[in-house]
Amino acid sequence: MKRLASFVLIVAIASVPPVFMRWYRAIDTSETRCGYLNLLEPDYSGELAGGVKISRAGSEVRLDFTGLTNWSKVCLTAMREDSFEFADRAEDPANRPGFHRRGRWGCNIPNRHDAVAVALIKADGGTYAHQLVIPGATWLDDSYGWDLPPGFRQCVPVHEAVARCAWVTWYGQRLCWLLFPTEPERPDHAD
Amino acid sequence: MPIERRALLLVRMAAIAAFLALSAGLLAAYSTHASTFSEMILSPLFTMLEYIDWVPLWSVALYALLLLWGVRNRRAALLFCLSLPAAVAFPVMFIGLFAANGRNVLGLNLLMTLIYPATWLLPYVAMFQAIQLGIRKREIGWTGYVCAFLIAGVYLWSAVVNDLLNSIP
Repeated sequence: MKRLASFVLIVAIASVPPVFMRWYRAIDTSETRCGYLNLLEPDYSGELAGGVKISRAGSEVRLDFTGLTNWSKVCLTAMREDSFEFADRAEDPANRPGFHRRGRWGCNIPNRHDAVAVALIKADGGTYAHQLVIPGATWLDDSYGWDLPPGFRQCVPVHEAVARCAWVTWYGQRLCWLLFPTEPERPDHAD
Repeated sequence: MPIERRALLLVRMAAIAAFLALSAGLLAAYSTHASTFSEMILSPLFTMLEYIDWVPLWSVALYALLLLWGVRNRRAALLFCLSLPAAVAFPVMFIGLFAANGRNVLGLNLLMTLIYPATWLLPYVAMFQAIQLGIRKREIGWTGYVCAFLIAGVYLWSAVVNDLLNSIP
């Protein structure tokens, strides 16, 4: 019995690297695509994934953020890579007075084709940005519709945060832009 | 001859055979394909590096084999088996890199050696434990488990560093 316990312990020790690496590699790719991930920073992606209800009915999509309890505002935004021509307009709280980063930020690479960029804001201005993947949502391809203008940020209080399709026609195609059905805030860097 | 001594003899003979085969393979590869030597040597090793996190589990299988052969110094057997794969692979990788690129990569090699402590740490552990294998009967003990955990940590570190280096655009 002692020998068996010893062997199990050895297998457990040897399993630490593959188990950790499996977890590490499975972390949301929106955070790792830039190649750097600070494991010491808080990870809110699970909270975001658990607190947001995604429902689809045909081509209509509904994102319900009202289940998020630890945040005061939710913003729909656009993320850009650091080398973007208008990098100062990329989604980054450092660009905006009164805001600061919280947690492991999503990578500033253009929006995934199956995701919307979401920024959560605490009352103290702490901001966490993340690309929220919507399974099967290939219609969000940024070459189609979900290519919000640089610097765009539509924020609403969490208790009102339910995004729906705002249908637009682009070169004959009917596209869904996920927006909150309220008057958008004026972008800080509006042209 | 007692079974443990026979096992140790087998292990040492296998190690010598592996070393000779590896040396012969390297020599043959370099003499016949000098221009592509680096790629030939490094490609499989870099591939192995991608799966380095799984190596400790294979080492456990090797450890079980040693126990079945009758090795009685369990602590040395465990640490030897855990450190052996990296102790062989990492130095060969850097020697291959150096042989192929010479002084051009000396700085890179030194940097990589620092980044991957498995390169200098695990060969030392493997050699020391190989000597310890035949000295006396010994259970693993808590220090053995701690050392095994630290070696697993070295593999984990190598895997994380490798992932980070691969993800640099």
